[in-house]
Amino acid sequence: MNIKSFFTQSDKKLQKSEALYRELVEYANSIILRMDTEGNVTFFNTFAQKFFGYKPEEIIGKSVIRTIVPPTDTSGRNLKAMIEDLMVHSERYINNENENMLRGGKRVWVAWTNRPILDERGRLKEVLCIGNDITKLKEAEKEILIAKEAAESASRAKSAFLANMSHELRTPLNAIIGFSDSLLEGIAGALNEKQKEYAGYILESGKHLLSLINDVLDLSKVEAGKMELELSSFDLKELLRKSFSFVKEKAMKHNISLLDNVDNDLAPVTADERKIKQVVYNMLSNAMKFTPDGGKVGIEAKKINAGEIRVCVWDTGIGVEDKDKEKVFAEFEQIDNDYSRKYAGTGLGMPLSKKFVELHNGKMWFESEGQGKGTRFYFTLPLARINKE
Amino acid sequence: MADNNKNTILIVDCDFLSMKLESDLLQANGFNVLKASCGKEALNMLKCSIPNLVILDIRLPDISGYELFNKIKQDARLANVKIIAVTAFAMKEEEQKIKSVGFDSFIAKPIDIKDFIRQIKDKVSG
Repeated sequence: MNIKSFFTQSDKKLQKSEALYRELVEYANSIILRMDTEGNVTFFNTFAQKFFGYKPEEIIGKSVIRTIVPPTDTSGRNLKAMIEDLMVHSERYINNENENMLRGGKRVWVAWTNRPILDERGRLKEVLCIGNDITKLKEAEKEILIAKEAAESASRAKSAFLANMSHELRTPLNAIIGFSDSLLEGIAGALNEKQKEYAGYILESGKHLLSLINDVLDLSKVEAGKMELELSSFDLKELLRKSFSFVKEKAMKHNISLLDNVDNDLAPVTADERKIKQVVYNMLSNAMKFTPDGGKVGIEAKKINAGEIRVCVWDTGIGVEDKDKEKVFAEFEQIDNDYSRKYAGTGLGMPLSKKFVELHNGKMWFESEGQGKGTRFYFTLPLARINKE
Repeated sequence: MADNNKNTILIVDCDFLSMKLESDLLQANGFNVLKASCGKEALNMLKCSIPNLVILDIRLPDISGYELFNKIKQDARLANVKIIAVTAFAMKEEEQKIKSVGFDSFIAKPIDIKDFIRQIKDKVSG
């Protein structure tokens, strides 16, 4: 091969390779441009021309400021200063998102990767900028942020409303509960039997209303993710055995037998004692409520595997029909039959109990073979320390 | 008229029925009771009498129960006066706030009358 043909061939190769790169850059679906240290455009690819709306002769040699970069963006950020800073500290702008401007003045957002090009002496000669349109992404981000702020503000308003409502309901209840209890205590003199009975109804109803208010507040707290557990180690066995005292009086009145089958070896648990007590109380009063006179109500508890205790409250009561099974843990739902109408509760006890158990990473469910066949409510409690999220 | 052998309790509460309930209970249990329905009235009363204990509601028509608490605490003459919050703001956050600023006790409304009297007697004798 002679020298001439060598150069011709190598020239051809060079041309071919250059054409390849030119095509790559020209037809890439990204904005590709170069600018000198003054911020004047020296290269502007086809995609950039289409995107920004400038022909090469309209942009080459012109500053990016006031053509594709507005001096300040919509939020007031000084983009002229940013371009000046980019020429000094190009390393800070390797990945940079900023607002840009189309020919008609419309603002867009572009994610840029900026690469400094140095001369032989290592000084900055030009900056190669490759950009992708992220306007839609930014708009979506903004919308999400607005929605988030609206949700947070609604949540704050709800909390404030609940705190106020609680205050407004408790104030009259203070008089209802306090004065009826005072009457029963004989502070205003002795009452006859009928008066005692009526004052007792007022007091009971007042207390019922109070527990309803507390349940509503608890439930909304759980739903807002603001319910915190106060963990301590306590003897679950003892808590369960003592829990019968809540319903003893009622059981005697209705001739319901209370049966305790709590495992003696039950280890202490780490949980929120007050909430577990409330769960057990809700289960027991639920069982009592739906068990006719002469029936049975019982508690069972045992370790079911290495890390879990299972508690069951069972009854020989009216049971749950298949069609009603979904309502048991639904808020404000009560199974509609003559029996439940006679023994109206808050409709919040079981849903709230389930949420309390779930806060402990436990499960709550029930089994009933149908109407008249009794119900078994279960919950599990992990023995290991409960992981707080 | 005030009986000097009895312990005196100032109740500051703008709710008429809460005031009535608490004062009747305290009187039935042998206490002298002073009544104020706002912060200003309470401060005026405290100029000429020093009770053993003050029962404060947190929501008052003029100043908050916290402000009134601070004013009482700043007065050296009232250094030994116990202060209990009795309020319908029963949420745990409020209870924690009340306890952290230094109230001697917190009782949520609706009160349990036996518990209420027991706590007052405890604080007055203690």
